[in-house]
Amino acid sequence: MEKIINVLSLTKSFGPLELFINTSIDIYYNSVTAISGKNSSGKITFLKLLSGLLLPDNGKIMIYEKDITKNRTYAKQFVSLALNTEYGFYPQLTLKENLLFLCKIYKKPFDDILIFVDILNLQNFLNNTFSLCSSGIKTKFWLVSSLVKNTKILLIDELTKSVDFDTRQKVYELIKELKTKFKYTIVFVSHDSNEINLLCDHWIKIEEHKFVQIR
Amino acid sequence: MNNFISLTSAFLYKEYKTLQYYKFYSIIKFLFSLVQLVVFYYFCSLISKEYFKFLFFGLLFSKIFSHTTTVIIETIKQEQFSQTIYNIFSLPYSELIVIISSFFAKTIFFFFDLTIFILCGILFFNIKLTFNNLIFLLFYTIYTIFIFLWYTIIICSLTFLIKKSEHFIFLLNSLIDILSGVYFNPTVLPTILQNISYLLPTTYVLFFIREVIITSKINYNLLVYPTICSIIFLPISIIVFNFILIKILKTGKLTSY
Repeated sequence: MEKIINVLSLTKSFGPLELFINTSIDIYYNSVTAISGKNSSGKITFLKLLSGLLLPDNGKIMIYEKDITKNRTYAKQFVSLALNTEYGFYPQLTLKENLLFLCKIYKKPFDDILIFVDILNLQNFLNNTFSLCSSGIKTKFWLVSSLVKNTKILLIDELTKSVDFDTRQKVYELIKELKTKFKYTIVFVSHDSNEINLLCDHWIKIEEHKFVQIR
Repeated sequence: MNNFISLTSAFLYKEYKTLQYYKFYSIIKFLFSLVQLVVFYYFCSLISKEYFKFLFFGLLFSKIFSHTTTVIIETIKQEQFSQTIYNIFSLPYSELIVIISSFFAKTIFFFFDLTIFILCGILFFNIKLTFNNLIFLLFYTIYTIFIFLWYTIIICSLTFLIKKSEHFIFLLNSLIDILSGVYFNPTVLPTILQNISYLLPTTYVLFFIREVIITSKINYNLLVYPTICSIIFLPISIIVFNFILIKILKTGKLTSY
């Protein structure tokens, strides 16, 4: 299998807290990889490092064989990040306006993104302002908005956070479709072993601040 | 260039939608400009009518200059609060290009503010401007914004580095206003402050516009010093910005305000 991301001897510290402590890991093309670990083990930090929003203390992060710690703009062409926080979009704007803003930046027709809006049943919420949306809607919106960017590497924090049972199945279907039909490489953070077993080709656990390849 | 235009147009769309959300903001801004002019007009009438004309163009310059700094602080603050800074810094462009295009989008709306300010002066406070003067003011505003872009980038870097930096920037801008001669001619200042005043590029840019509008003299030599400063400090400001950005990407304090 072709390696798309190589993480080599990575260390990231925040004051006395040292994460990943000189460990390496590979992520493969067109695969779905789950990251799990205890709270504060560094899961989101890892996603931010992969997307160039954080810089490591030591080590290299290679995407398509280029070190993104030295060329963040290059990394940002290939990576899309869904952080799944309560914030992250303009709170006064509606979901549609936030999407249109991103579509204008990426020169993507709004209609191209409507297919994902429909899959996740967001069409009735498009005219709601982001700040008034529930956590579940925000989770779905993060996922849809990360697909506006024309990338093939998708990083998602907590795939199904706050979403109802029916939507959860739709998110799973979407992830499978993104992998098979759109050839995405997906890395997501999860605490749900059923979800991991259902969707993932690979499973990386962060234990004692080091990567452990489970599958 | 194409990417820069598409980025700026996207931010323009976002600004327009945000302004639609805050419907009363523009009205309040207009009222603020009007009240400010009324207060200054009253005080100037106690001295002389010519003094108000002198002060009006000082205030106009101060408005343009403070736009180049306060807007960038406001932008970064809002992006940090709403954590949209993660989204805009994930764009496949240099972070500085993203911030500058957001700044330019806001600058387009600023032209409306400036037009209202000038119209208030013409309609209510007896400021006489010919059509040529108005065209000249348009180019002057564009020049001023570009010539102090380096200062904007430095302020932007400081906003990332020093948390809650707006009071410091406000203090700095107020000092620059006083020393550059926004409210009175720098010749009335003590000698040491006059020397500092003549070191500031803002002093010359302000002299220039007053000469053009009040005495109808165009002295382009006044723009040489500010232009040289811009040529020297623009690359330095970009280096400073990138240095500070790497520092905050290492500490992980991108969204901390």
